[in-house]
This record gives sequence, structure tokens and C-alpha cells, in this order.
Amino acid sequence: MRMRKAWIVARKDFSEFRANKHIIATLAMMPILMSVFSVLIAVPLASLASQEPPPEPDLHLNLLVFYDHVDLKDTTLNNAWVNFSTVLNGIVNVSYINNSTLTNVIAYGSLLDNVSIANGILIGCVLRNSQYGQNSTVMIDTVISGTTTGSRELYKSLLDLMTHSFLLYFFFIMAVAMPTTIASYSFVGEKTNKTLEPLLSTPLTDGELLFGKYIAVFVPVMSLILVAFAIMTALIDLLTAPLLGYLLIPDAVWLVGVFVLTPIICIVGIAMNVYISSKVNDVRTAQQYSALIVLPVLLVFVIGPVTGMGSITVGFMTIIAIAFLGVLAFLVWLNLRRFNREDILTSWK
Amino acid sequence: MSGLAIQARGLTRLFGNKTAVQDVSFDVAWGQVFALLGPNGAGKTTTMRMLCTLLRPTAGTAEVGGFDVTTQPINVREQLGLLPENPGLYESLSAERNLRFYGEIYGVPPSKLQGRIEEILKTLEIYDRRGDKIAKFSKGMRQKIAIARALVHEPRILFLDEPTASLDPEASKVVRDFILQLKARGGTILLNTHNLYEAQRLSDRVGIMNTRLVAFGSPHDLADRMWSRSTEVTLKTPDARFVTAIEALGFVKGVRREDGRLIVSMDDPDNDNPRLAEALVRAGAEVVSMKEREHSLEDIYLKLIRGDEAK
Ligand SMILES: Nc1ncnc2c1ncn2[C@@H]1O[C@H](COP(=O)(O)OP(=O)(O)OP(=O)(O)O)[C@@H](O)[C@H]1O
Ligand SMILES: [Mg+2]
Repeated sequence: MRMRKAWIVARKDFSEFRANKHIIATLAMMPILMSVFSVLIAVPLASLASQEPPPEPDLHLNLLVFYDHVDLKDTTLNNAWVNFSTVLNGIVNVSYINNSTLTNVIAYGSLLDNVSIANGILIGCVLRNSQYGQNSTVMIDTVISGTTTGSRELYKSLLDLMTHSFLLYFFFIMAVAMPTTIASYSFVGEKTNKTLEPLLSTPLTDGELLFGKYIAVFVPVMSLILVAFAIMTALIDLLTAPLLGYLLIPDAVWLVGVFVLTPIICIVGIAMNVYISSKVNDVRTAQQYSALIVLPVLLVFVIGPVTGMGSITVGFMTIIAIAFLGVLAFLVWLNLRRFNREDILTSWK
Repeated sequence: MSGLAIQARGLTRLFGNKTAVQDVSFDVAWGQVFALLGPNGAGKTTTMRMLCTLLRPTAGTAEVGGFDVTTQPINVREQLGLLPENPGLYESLSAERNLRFYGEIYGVPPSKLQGRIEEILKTLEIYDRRGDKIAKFSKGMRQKIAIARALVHEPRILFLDEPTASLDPEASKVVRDFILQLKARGGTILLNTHNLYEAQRLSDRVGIMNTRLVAFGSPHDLADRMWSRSTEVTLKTPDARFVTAIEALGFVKGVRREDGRLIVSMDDPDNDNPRLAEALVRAGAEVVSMKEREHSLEDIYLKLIRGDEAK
């Protein structure tokens, strides 16, 4: 196979894309939308995650009773000091609770230090070095301090999930969906405009023609994805670094995602489009089928979170990349095998 | 260059169970212009596509430029330039960009390509539109660009599928003159047409096709084979007695009257016409003119196709 010939075919396609305002408009929208979208997600979360905790108020506790290592149930505690205990179904008033577990408790004007709360209501309390969040815990006028894992950390981990998994998923989806637009012009267009007959009468081999078409779709799609990545990274860092004090992206996950997995997904998308093009006769049908190929790719990335792997990791991406390379090899083989000059002339419309 | 430019042997092509081309054999020598004539659906395009390696023959073989169309398709394609039935140009690209693309694919050196494109476009009288998008071109202009595309790499064998089909008379003339020019330079051309005038003007040999190749040869040979030669005599006052007088001559095979003229069949008019004239004068006829009757390709075509369809 002569790479130069494939490149000539690809360059011709680039000239055609450049002359087509619809393609340019459709493609240019991608990085713009992606950037706006990512900023809309990242900036509010970053500002929530970076909020400074307010100072602890002085609660003026006047402790009168003391509990240590007891299990309290259905009780009301007033001005109590509770150590290493559990409280189930109770009311706690102006008390100090330390190293304990509270379940179904309403607390008022108390200091809770190193406690774990499930399903409680806290009014005018201070919650320090604690855990809450199992079931619903309602907090009214309550100050959270110390290493409490609650809202701020929740925002942080949400920010992390959004900017490292969710946005990266969108890049993967772009990589598989964008070839559909271009490939339908590049391949099916060549069929419907009857430009394939003279092209097939040239000494180009099947491989050169197919490879040229792969390049013709790959180059613009990947360029746009990289542009989108650059704009998005710049915008997110510019807007969130002052809030967070560090650069949110890129990191290893992003770099592997954008520079390794995205190109592979993109070529898989192209190969699937080419396969569809060889099966159908008009642009509309091709585009309808192509919309479906996004689904299996999406499915792969749903498996990750569902199987408990949570957010995307480099290891997870490596496994997916290897699997996709296998799929790709099969698709390329299939495309070459199915590339039938006769069919193109006699059954393609 | 040795051998034949095109050699078709028993080419047959079926679509499903419909026979489009059946057992077609012919030769085209280097430097010859060969015209395939035939009604719509005769299989001309299918034959051309088999020779260009675009369709595989169901049976039979062919060599183009010395290479086999089924086993050496790339070598075959390197030899040829094709003007397909449909121009198939890239609409959003300029005429020049279309041609440059094809030149590059065929590996024409960039230094030569620009000059080559200019030369063809000038000859086809479309040079000043070279920068315009094909989308803005008329049918005839597209056809010219498609012809230019088939020639941009100076192929050894040119395949033209109905080159003047969509052209007005003036553009047709430009294209025909261009083909004559290529012919004069020794180009080898296979031409599909149903324009008999075009075939007669341009080609050395014709093949008349109706799924099968009904006849094959130069227009003159075909006429000779189909009709005995005859002389057309115009008399000032035609009369039955002159017919009797010449029917008596030994070399005359038959006499017919047609629009007041006498059509006299004989084997060797070059030799016997003087004696025919002498006999007529002696019988008292006043001879206005005497000439050998030519059969046009149209006569040949209609007779062959009708004869074929009657079968
Ligand atoms: N792809 C195809 N599938 C089925 N039948 C076909 C196909 N291409 C051609 N045919 C049939 O083969 C026969 C010959 O067609 P072909 O196009 O070769 O004729 P042609 O001589 O070029 O006609 P025209 O003068 O109209 O161009 C026709 O009956 C046509 O219907
Ligand atoms: Mg035809």
C-alpha cells in the first residue's frame, strides 16, 4: 500500500469539507459546546467545594449529666456530656456528644465531635470531625468544622467525578459520534454523486482508497477533539484555579484518555461507519444506523461505574483500549473483505 | 508496443439471470479508434466496465494493454483513462482541483501536471472557467471536464462512454474534433455511442452490439459484406426498355427502380461501369449521372439491429 496515494485521497476530501459550510459549522460547534458545557459544570462545583468553613460559635454549654459507654434509647438528653455511646431515637438539647453514634436523633444547640449521624436533624449545632450522610440528615443553622465528611467533600468528589469521568465520557462520545457526520459525506456522498466509478477506474487499490477515507475522517475529528480539549482545559483552569488553588485538569487520566483512548475510539467509529456505508444505499439510512453505533460504546463506559470501578482510571482505560484495538482489527479486516467494487457500481445508488 | 491494445474473448456478463452481454469478442489494435454501437440496453456500458476492471466478466476474458482484466486489474487500470456514462465530478471543488486530484492519483509529476491541465482545458475551450466550482457548470461543461479528467495522465487507451451524449452541436463538434486530434496523434480509443454519424466520422472500426456483437469491422467492410455493390444511375427519361437492355448484360446481377433511378447490382463496378454506360447510351438513354451507391452506417445499423430483433 502506498501511503502517499491514501494521503492524496484524504487531501481531496479535506478540500471538499472546506468547501462545505454545513460540515464546517457542525464541526466547529463541537468544541464550542463542549467548552461551554464543561465550564457550566466545573465552575459552580468548584466554588461550592472551595467555600471556607465559618468559625465555630461559642455554644455556652453547661454540662450537668455524664454518660460514658452506654446505649441510650428513646431518651431526651439535656445539658449532657456523652462519651463513647450510642443514641437511638432521642432528643439532644444543649449537650456535648463525643465519639458516639446518633441514629434518628434531633439535636439542638449541641456540640457534636467525632460522631457518626444517620437520619438526624441538627438545629443550631456545631458538627466537628464527624461523618454524616447515611440516610438524610437535615442541618439547620449548623456549623460544620474539622474533618467532617459532608457537603464540602461531597462537592469536591462530585467535581472530581464530573471533570475526570463525566467530561471525559463526552470526549469518547464525540470521538465515536463525530465521524458519522463526516463519513456520511465522505463515503456515501461519493456513492450518491457517482464519483466512485471514475475513482475506481484509477490504479488505486482497495486498501489505499479505504485508508485514504479513514484519514479523511480521522484528521478533522481528532483535530477538533484536541482543540476542544485545549479550550476546555484553559477555560476550566482559568476559572477554577483561583477558587481551588490548584489545576483541576489535565492529569494522567485526561492525557491517556485524550491521547490514547480517544483516537482508538475514533477509528473504531470510522470503521463502523465504513461498514454501514457498504451495507446501505443512501445517506439518510447510513446516518440512522450510525446513530446506533454510539450505543455499544456508551455501554462499555456504563459497565465501569456499575461494576464498582467508579470513575475512569488509567487502568480501566488501558483495558478498554486493548479491547477496542481487537474490535478495530476485526472491523478493518471486515471492511477490506467487504470492499467490493462490483457492489459499489451495481447495487449502491 | 506489441500485440493488441484490447483483446476481448467471449466476454459475457449476467445480472442475476438477465444476460447483459453475451459472448463478445473483438480486437482493437494500437492507434485504432473502435466504436461500439447499439441501442439502449445493448450492453455497451457493461462491456466497457468489464474492460476497465469495474465489473468482473461472468465468463470470457479480456486483455487491455497486454494485461488480463481479472488477474491484473491494477496494471490494466494504469493504462486507461475512462469517461464514464455519468461525469461523476466533485461538485464542491473547482474544475482544476478535480483534475489535479486525478493527476496526483496517477502519479503525474507536479511539475508537468499544471501544464497538462492547462493544455487540455484550452483545447476543450473551457480554460477560463477552470477556477469555478463544478456545481456552477452546465451539463456540457461537466462533460468536457470529465473528458479532460480521463486524459490528464495521458493514458495509452481511452474509454469514452457516449462522449457527446449531453452536448449541444457546437460543443459536440469541439469534442469530436478533439477526439480526431487524439486519433491523429496515434491515440487508441474505445468509444460507446448511438450516434451513427459520430461513429462513422471518428472510428476506424465499429462493433454493432445488441447483447451479442452482431457485426464487427470497418463501416466500409460491413457494407460490402451486407450488400452486393451497386451503381445508381439517373436517367433524363426513365423507361422500362432500358431496364431490359441492361438486364441482358452478363455482369449485371439485378436491376431495381427507385425514385426514378436505376439501382444496378454488380460485383465489380470499377471495371464494369463503362460498359454499363455504353449499353445504356446504345439503347437510347440519356444518362444524367452515374455513381456507386454508398451505404451509410445508418443503413448498416438499422438493417443489423432490425434483423437481430426479428430473430
Ligand atoms: N447494475 C446492474 N444491475 C442489473 N442490470 C444491469 C446493471 N447494469 C446494467 N444492467 C442491464 O444490462 C443491460 C445492458 O446495460 P448497459 O448499461 O450495458 O447498456 P448500454 O448499451 O450502455 O445502454 P445505454 O445506451 O442506454 O447506455 C441492460 O438491460 C441493463 O438493464
Ligand atoms: Mg451505456
